[in-house]
Amino acid sequence: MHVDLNITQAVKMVWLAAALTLLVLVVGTRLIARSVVTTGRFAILVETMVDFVRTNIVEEFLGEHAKPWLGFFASIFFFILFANLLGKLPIPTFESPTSNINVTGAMAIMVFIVAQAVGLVKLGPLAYFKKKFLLPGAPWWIQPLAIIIMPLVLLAEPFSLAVRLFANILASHMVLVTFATAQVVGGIWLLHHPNIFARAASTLPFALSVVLLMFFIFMALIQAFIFALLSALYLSESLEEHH
Amino acid sequence: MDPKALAWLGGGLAIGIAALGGAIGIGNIFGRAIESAARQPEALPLVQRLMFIGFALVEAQVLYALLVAFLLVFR
Repeated sequence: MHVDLNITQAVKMVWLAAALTLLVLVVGTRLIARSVVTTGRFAILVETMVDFVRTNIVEEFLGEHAKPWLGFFASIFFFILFANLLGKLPIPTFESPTSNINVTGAMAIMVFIVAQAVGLVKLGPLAYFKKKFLLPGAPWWIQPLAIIIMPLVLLAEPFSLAVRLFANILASHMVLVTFATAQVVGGIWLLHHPNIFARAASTLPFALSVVLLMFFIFMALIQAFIFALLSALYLSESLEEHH
Repeated sequence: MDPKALAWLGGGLAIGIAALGGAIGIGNIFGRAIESAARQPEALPLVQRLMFIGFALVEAQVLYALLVAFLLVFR
């Protein structure tokens, strides 16, 4: 089998997003640790965002197991956030690595393997099998059917994680490019119109473009949040012994 | 009819109908979330979290249709 290991643009963007994550978090935590009360815009921003991940994602879903997992989910959140935002920069060679199915697929598989491994270790093989492949509380004749269906349900989790992020970012970029092109063309056409009101209206397409970009930056945040949140949800199913 | 035209038509219909369903679902979710938050403001964090999970699940279905539309159009 031939494996292509060329350094593509997506790989460079992944490295850039990872470097940004490392830089922002390391510098941010150094600044936060410097004094008891956090001061400075950058340090407060980093602290607020990490605290957001802690309260809304990790502590909500993992409860008493939250502490060791904060680093994992905060890295996922920040990496996806920077990866999404890289494609929004107006630099022609930049693209979002998350608009590549291989990147999101790799991340989803990583989360899946972590969740299943933790389930196997924490619950023990028997309880793990019972929890993931059988339907507790259902009548006995349902169980053979459950053994067939439940693995599919389990595999649907990483698939939906990967496809959701990839399709969202890809679609947002395509919509942005299409609209921006149409708006520039329409705006220039309006700018050369003999009517003065039409010339004044040529600013509207550009304003719409800005509004769209703001919406997609919001979507980049929401998608990073949802990826981390659903990962925590899948992991929490492997950590709790009762259900 | 030209198969290419049929594929384009199918792609457009796929994402159009899926967007209709997704819009109904997402509208329902956010409307109900706002309703329950107005009725019980102290439940807002819980409502918000559940709202985003529901939003993600509904949206995923539309995105699957979007993938199918891409496959049809850029075949």
